Amino acid sequence: MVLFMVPFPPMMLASIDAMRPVFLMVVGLSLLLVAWRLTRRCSGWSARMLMGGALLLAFGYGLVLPLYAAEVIVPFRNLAFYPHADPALTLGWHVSKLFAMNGGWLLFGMGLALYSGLFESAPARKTQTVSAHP
Amino acid sequence: MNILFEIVIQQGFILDLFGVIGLGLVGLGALRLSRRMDSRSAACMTWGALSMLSGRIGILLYVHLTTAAQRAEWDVWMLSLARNVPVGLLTLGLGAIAYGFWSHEKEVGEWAELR
Repeated sequence: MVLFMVPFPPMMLASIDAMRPVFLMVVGLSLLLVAWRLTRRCSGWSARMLMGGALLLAFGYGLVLPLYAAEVIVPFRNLAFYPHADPALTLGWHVSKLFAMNGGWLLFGMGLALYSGLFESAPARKTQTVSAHP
Repeated sequence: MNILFEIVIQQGFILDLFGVIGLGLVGLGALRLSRRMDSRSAACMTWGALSMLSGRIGILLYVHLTTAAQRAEWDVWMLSLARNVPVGLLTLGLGAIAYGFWSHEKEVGEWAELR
């Protein structure tokens, strides 16, 4: 397990290095909360996609990215520099990060686009037809 | 190594493409919201999405278009600029999107109370 092999670095919560993960956690969870409050008023696929995207983003921003920042999970790209890291576990976290962040933004964007009516065509203008031969 | 594994998982080309498309959809949806509802919060979301998009593309360019040998020749300030500016843009953009989303939800709630 990488979780136990890599020693947890001493990380002060108020230090500059730790500010970004804490910010990401707060923002990810607040996105989830706001999406939940917003989707109480709408229904259908826009609500489902917004909620699914917000859940994935909250998982990504609230859990996966802070774990990467704390170096509990080592980046898959730099696996060669960590001889004690488990490659399978690193690959699993890498895949889950890819799916959570990118799929989360895709679902959230689709949900927001559906919610804002981006894909709806403009209502047809009522043109007054003037008949040429009254 | 398997070419499909390399494209989909190791380099993450396709999934990164999904993320960039999603960010673009967030920006377009926020633009549509700001034009339909005439609210400033949706405009804040648009700026956030634009900032996140540029940061994300900057990171992707840095990762995929430069090699380690090229990066070793860069000066320290170039390296720190190339690493920190996209991350800062991402963080700022995420904050702007979350603030705009929250403020839009508050506006919708106020309209629902007024009705």
